[in-house]
Amino acid sequence: MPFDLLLLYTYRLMAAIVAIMMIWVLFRERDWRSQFFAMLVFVPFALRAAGVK
Amino acid sequence: MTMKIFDSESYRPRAWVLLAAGLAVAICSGAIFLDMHKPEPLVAGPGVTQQKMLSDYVPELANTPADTPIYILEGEEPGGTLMLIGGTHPQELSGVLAAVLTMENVTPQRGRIIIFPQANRSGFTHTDPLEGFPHTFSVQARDGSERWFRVGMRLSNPIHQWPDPDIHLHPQSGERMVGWESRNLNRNYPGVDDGRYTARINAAITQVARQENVDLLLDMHEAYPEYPIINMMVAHERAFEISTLAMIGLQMRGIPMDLMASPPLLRGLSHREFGDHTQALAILSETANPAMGRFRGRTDEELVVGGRDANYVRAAKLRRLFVPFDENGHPLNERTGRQLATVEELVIAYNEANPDKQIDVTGIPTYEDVTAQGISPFLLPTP
Repeated sequence: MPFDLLLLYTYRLMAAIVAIMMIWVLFRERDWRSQFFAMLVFVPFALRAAGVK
Repeated sequence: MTMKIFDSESYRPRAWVLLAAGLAVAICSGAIFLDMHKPEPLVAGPGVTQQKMLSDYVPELANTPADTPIYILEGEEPGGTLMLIGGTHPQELSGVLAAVLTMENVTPQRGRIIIFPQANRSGFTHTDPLEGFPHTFSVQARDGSERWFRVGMRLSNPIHQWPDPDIHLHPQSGERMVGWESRNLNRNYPGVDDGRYTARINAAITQVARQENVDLLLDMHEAYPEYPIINMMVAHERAFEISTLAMIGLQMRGIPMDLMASPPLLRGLSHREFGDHTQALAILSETANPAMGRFRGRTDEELVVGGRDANYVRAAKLRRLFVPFDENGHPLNERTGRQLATVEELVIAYNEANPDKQIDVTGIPTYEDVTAQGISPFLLPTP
């Protein structure tokens, strides 16, 4: 596997971790603002993890 | 009610609602992004004798986003070989349309034409972030049906090549460029066989030019009206003679097109590297596209196709542009016609200089017809 492809997949894995963390924050935080911001962060990282964007 | 929605006790149902909203936004926007990967229909005209893929020359590219169609139009008699490249930078639409109109209308009697309508197919799968470009535009075909085309971006999609280096080094010369130029097809010629995604496409196209013994090559581009290299050909020194003849021919027809010598130290560009690394006489052409410039207003299908913009009219009055710009703007029809006229005049000039290896073609839509009637009468309907 070329090195840059390995980096790309590593990046997607890290984006997936961030997206999952945001779901965790959504269910852990009790303040609506923290929950809302977690949702905002979730969207682009989910797309990057899926390799769509 | 309001208190309950924002109340800390109701955090769990709120989490479910927000997660559902986030997933809905991700799925909807993801569908829009994925839609850009759907290729527009390309129609082979009566002059097309072979349809190949880039992977027919470089099998490693098969089933990758780098693979792209190649149309070959071969005359009955042997002669010279012309290669036309459109879609090096996918948002430079007149080059794409000129390649499409050539493969749908032209029939060679002598010699061959090899056409890349979408040289960098990855670039067609995304648009410039934060620039508000439309993803597609439509034009009527000759039977009144609709043909649609994508508006892409000048670089390969980062989902195909990532990350960008801080500094891109052109491998053959060591010239340094900004990092994202590593995804620019017109900064990586002659390419690297086992290089990164974009450089491998470059290497494959260079291999096609070598393998098919291309004699004359035109890479068709557009630039913004405030850019000095506009309505212009950039020619390798070996191609300067025929480019000069073509420029004179264009100007005698009332189509102003200037000529610039390919700078020897500006590396990675088609006019330099095809000229240095293949036998082809390499030329690049540029027309003026207001949809690409910084002065533009709303960037919609009307601007992309119509090429009219009040800001550019004002900028022209302030002498900030390198092309005339009035209320009629620079419509896609006029820009495509200019590219086609450049092809026509280059072929005439090439034939004058190479009487033993001519390229005789019929059916190139003329600048005058395309400007007056639009491109629609020359676009075939999709089967």
